[in-house]
Amino acid sequence: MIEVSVGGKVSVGEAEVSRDSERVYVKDRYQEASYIVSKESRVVLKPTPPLNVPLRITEYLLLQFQEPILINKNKNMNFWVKAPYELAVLADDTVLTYLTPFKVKHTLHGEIIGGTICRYFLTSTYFRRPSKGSEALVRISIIARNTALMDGIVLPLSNVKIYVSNGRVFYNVVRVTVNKGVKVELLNEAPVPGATAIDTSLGNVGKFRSYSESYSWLWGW
Amino acid sequence: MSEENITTTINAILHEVTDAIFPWSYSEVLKILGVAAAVALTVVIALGIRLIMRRLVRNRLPRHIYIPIERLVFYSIIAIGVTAALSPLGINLTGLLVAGGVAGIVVGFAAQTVVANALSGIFLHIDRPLKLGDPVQVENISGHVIDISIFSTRIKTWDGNIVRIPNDKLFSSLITNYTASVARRIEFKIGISYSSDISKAKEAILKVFNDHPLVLVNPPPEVFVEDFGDSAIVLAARCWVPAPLWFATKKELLELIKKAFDEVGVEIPFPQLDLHVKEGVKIVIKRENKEVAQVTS
Repeated sequence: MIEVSVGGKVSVGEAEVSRDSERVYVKDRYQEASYIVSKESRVVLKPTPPLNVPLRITEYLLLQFQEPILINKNKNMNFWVKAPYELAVLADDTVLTYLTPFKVKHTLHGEIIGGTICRYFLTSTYFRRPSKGSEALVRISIIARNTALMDGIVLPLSNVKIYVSNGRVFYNVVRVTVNKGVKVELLNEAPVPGATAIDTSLGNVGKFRSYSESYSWLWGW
Repeated sequence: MSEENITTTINAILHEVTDAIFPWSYSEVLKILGVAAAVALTVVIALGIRLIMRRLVRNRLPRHIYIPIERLVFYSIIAIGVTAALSPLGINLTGLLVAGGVAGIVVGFAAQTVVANALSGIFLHIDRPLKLGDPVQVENISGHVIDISIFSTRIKTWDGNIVRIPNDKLFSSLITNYTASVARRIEFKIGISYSSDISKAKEAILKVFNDHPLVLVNPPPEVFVEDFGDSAIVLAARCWVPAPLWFATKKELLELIKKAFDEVGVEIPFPQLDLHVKEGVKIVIKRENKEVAQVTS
C-alpha cells in the first residue's frame, strides 16, 4: 500500500494521484477527477485485480504470450509472465475510485455465442523472475499431461489474491494443467517467500460476489 | 309362547337391527374399501407428481407460469383417478366428463385467442428467445423487455413507450435478441475526399480502435475501401465490442474517428458536383448596380 500525504504526489505507470489540504486529484488514461477529503484523512493506494476500469464487464483476464510455448508431455515447467493490476484509491477505508497504471483492452475468448469477454494483456514469458517493469508478476506452474502449443491463458480474476514484495505486485501462483483441454487454477500460495498478501475486500465498495477459482477450455477455442 | 318361538323372534329382530345399522353385504364392503384405497392412491400419486414438479420444474419457470400448470396437473390427476375409482360402485361420471369436455370445447373456441396467447407464453418460457431486461427487436419494435406474462410481453421502446405484444404474435414473429451473443460488431461507412491519403485514414481509424478499451482485440478490427462514391472514397470500418456496450461504444468511436481525421488532415467531403461547360457562356459581374466587366468562359 502506498500512502499519499498532503502535498504529495504518487505516480504508478499512467496512474497519478496528488493531494492538497482539501482535495485528492486522480488521473489515468481513462479518467480525471477530484474528491474533497479532509486533511486528517488517510489516503492510500491499494493494488487490486484489474476488474473495474473503465467498467466492470468481465471477471476474466486473458494473458496472451508474445511467443507461443511448446509444452511437452510429462515435462512440467515453471515460468513468469507479467499482468496488469489496478489501484484502489481509498480515503479512510472508503474506495474513492480505481485507477489503472496500464492501457486497458478486452478480447473475446471462444465463440461469439457462448464465448467469454476477457480483459486482455500481451506479455512476454520469463524463465527467471523479471526485475524491470511496473506490471504485476504471475508465476505459472505447468502440469504437462499432454503435448500442446500454448499461446496464452485465461485467469479467473474475481478471486485472484494480490501480494506485494519489495514494492512489486504479484498474483498468487497459477497452476495450469494441460491435458485434452486446459485447466487454470489459482493456488492459495504466495509466489515468492515473504510476500505480503493484500486484503482485496475493499471497505464498502468492490466486494466480490463470484468465487470462481478455475477456468477450463478445450483446444481449438 | 314357546322358547323356540322367542329365539326365532329375537333373531329376526337382531337381523333387522343389523341390516338397519349396517346395510351392506361383505362384498359391498370390500368394494367400498377398494374405492377408498383407489382414491387415496390417486391423491398420493398426485402429491408425488406435484413434489417431482416442484423439484424439477418450479425453478425453471416463472412463478406465474408454474402455479397454474401445477394446479392443472394436480387436479386433472385427482379428477381422473376419482372417476376411475368410483366406477365399481356404479357411479358413472362419464356423462359429467363428456359434458365437461363439450363445455371445454365451447369455451375453448370462445377463448381461442386467450388460450393461444397462454400456450405461446408457456412455449416462450420454454424456448426462451428473450429474457427480462434483454434489448430486443420484434418485427419493427425495438427496446428492452420489461415484462413477460402468461398472455403478453411488454417492451419499453428506446424512446420510453411501453408496447404490449400478445404472446401468440410474439411467438410467430422474427425476434432479434441483441444480447444473445457476448460480442456485437459495429460497422461504419466513412467517406473521405479523393484528395485524402487512404492509408493515413485507415491508420487513423485503426489507432482509434486500438486505443479504445472496449474494442475487442479478437475478432480483430478491419478497415478497407468499400466503394468509390460520387463524392468520396467510402471506407468500411468494422470492430467488435461487448454486446451490452454496443451503442455507447459506437457513439464514442464516431466522434473519436472525426477527431483523428482532423489531426492527420483527412477530409470528410460533402456531396459535390463538377460542372463542365462545353460552350462559352457570358458572365456579367455587377458592382453598385453598374456593369463593370464581362467575362466569357
